[in-house]
Amino acid sequence: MVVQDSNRVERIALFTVLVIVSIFMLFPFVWMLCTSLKPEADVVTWPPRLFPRRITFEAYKTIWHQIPFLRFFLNTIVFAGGVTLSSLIFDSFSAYAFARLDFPGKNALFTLILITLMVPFHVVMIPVFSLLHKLDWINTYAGLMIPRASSAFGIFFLRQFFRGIPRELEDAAFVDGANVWWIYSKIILPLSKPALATLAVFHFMFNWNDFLWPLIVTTSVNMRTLPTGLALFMGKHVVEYAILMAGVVLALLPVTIAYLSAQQHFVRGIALTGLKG
Amino acid sequence: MRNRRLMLLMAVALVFLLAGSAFAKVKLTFWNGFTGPDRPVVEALVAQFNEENPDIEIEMDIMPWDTFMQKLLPSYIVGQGPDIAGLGAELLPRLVDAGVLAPIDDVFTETNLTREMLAPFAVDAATYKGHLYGTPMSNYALLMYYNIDHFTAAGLAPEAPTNWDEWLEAAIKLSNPPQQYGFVMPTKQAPAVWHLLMWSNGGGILGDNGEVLIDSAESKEAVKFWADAVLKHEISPIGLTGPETDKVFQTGKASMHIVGPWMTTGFTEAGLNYDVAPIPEGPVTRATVGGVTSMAISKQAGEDPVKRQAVYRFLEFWNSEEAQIKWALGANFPPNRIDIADNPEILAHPWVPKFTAGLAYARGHLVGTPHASEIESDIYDTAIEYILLGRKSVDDALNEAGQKLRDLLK
Amino acid sequence: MFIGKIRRKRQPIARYNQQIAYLFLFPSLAVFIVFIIYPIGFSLWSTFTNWNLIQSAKYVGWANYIRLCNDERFWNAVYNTIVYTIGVVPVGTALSLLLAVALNQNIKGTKFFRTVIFLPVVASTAIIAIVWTFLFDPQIGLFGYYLSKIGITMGAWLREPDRAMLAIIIVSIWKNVGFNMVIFLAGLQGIPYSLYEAARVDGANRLQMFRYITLPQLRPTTVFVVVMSVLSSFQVFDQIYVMTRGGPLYRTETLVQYIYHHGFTTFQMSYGATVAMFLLVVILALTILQLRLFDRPVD
Repeated sequence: MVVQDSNRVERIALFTVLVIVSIFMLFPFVWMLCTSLKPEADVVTWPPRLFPRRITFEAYKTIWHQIPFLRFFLNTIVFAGGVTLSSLIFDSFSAYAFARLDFPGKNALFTLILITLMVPFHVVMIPVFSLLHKLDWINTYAGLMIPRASSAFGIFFLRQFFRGIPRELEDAAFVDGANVWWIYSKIILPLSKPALATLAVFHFMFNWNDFLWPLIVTTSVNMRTLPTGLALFMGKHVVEYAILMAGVVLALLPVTIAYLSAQQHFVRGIALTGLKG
Repeated sequence: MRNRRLMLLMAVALVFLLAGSAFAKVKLTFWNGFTGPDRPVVEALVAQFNEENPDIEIEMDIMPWDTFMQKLLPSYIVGQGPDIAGLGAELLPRLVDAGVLAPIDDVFTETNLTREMLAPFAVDAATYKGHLYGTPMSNYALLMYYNIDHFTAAGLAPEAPTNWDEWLEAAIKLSNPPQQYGFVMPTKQAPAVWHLLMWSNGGGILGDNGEVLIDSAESKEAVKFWADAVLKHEISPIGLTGPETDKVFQTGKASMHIVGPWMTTGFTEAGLNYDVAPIPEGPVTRATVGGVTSMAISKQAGEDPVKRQAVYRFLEFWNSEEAQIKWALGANFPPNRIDIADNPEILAHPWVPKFTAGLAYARGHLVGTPHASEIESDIYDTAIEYILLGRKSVDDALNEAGQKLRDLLK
Repeated sequence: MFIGKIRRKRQPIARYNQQIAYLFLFPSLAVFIVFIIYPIGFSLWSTFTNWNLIQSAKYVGWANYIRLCNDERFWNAVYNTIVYTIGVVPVGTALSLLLAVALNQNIKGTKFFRTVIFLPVVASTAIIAIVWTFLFDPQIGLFGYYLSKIGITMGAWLREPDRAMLAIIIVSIWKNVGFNMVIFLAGLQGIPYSLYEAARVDGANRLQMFRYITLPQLRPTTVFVVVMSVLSSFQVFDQIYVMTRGGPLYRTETLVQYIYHHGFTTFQMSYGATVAMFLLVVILALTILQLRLFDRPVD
């Protein structure tokens, strides 16, 4: 819906509501940031304090010294980035087939793909691990990334989006002799930039935060990702909150940047659909 | 011509391979759950061992406890488990039954460690069906922490109570909810405070010979005594997990607290004026919970004589006097070696000697049964939770627990 | 007339497509069949055994399924899962749609609001759950402290059987509202502006435009959001594991929490897998039902 006749009062009301919502959304993050700047002894106090009494970067230094932060960081980028890229390609292939092509077994295959979303990872963990072991893929990038190379979530997401694209363009192209590949790459994909950007953010974010999968598949510290590194500061009895939160703040940055840079693609709408009227 | 060259190449390669393996280090994988503040101490000790033993290389992988189990099971199933695993002793029976661990009954003859050097409960906890499956990686006893300022402010002598009547009286006197609680008690997912109270009264969960004690008169009496204190006198908030009770004590909202040595650093840094004392003596005996993390060997490593020897060298190193002093002073844990308790460095430490003294009357919580984790969460925690939330009487809750326990052990 | 023309044109595409569709599907299907479908098959097989890590698995017929029927704790988990889903999906979907529509307008600070609302999605659920547990804590938490300043005593939400689930639902909505909002935003971009202009010419007000243009045009997006929300609500785990472990008194124990319990506490893997198969069948039925009822291409 586009703003046309909303009057001033309405706008101010909406703005106020959004400010309140934002405070609610942001509060835990403010707590995280403040906690990461406290000495550990000041995290758990009574009365509780949001802002640090004195600001220290001790927690950030500890992270830097106690875990191979850069290595973990790069591994996470390779893992999350690689998976995102391959998933975007393969997901859009399948989504295109499901949204636009007709073939025998289409419904059955689509159901099969949806089924992959319906079983908790803990249930298939042991057989998947055995399989990777048989393939000799434990502790390899292949083992880390190939099982994640496509996602049913992405296929479903793009299928829905592709179905919303008017068919007239394709039909015209087809009459002009274009083949399916041409239509996919020259019509569907360019029109789907907002959806692809959105999906890229989701994939990147999901894999960036994933903890159990990289931990189970890798056995050497050199292959580990950031979340597994941060978990080292969560003891059985003692959690080092300041350090943990410092790590979370650092881990949030790349994903937030990814989101911000993708945002201009899916927010482009305002400029294009225009505000005239 | 071509063939001959290939053969030559292969022969050369073979020679190199053989030579290589003769000089190769024995590589051992070692997994444990020592995340958190103890991790640097463990890492330093392993690094020292690797340096002092150029023919052995320990590759350590530390991960949080619950993930550790999730990774350990599939790994063992495909035969990729670690050579050495640092496990809570209560987990050993399950893994022994699954056939993935090797007994190490000869460790006291093959190394210069002796049974007498170690806390008896720690050796017992790692013994299952007559065989030894691990030497301690760490051990501890729960002790009583008390807030000296609270005691003084309430007009009490700044000393911990020594028996249950004194204890209850002090707890009631020190309580002023919700500002202050006399004795903060966990409800679930915590060190087994309620179990030690049952022991102190002659009860328990399971007896030495596997008999069910959780619904015995002694256990019920103990639980009633303290549940009344919580429900009628509000000496503790309700529903807390272990870490939550720690926070209540740390913020000065509780006067007494039972927990292990790992909290000393946090409480001291928070500027708390506190001390630790033995667990007050119960109507029948003095008891506390002793926890032990054992180093266990995988079946594969146990069957490979080279690896087995290398693992033994590491076990020996870990429980050497030198390593144990470093461990105790670095982690604030009592040393596994009870025979070094009078070492001057250890005696000079503010906390370690007190926890070492606790080891003398410590017992293992739910050790020696393959159902430990299930008993803990579904029977013990559940019963206490029903009671403290006021949903079931002590008799009903513990009778039910006893019934479930018997069904489980059948 | 026009429609007929298009129909005739579509015919040849359909025939040509048959050969190439499988090529498009091949990479994804290969990955799924090897790394998901095969392991699911293994789990399905294990539900007919007593696989529990100790004994080598023995065929036990339908024993696990019969046990399921009489397992009170299992039905309790089913109930909790449904309560959670009903608590999260309608409210979460409506909120995210409203936010998306609001933020698709030309208001000051849209970019900022969009980022802030999305921020919870970016952080890992486990960490977020730790933070909320801290904030909710009545003894040391900021919320309780702020409320006590204005004379309100905050109960221990996560420790009270009757309120713990509500607390978890609130946190889950907070965590995921930005996710669905972004999906709706992407969907809103696809609505041709000309439709609104035409409606304006016809004198439609904004509410009518929302009702007769935005909602129908968003149908594929809404279907996706609802189906995925139901799917993930039925599999909620991380926040519950961190915040309550299914307690107090099993009141927040959901199906996946119960599956996890059998995987790593009782080690009865085969029974855990049986619960998972029940879960699979229920979600599958729900998903197919939703798709049958609502999933049509936009007219």
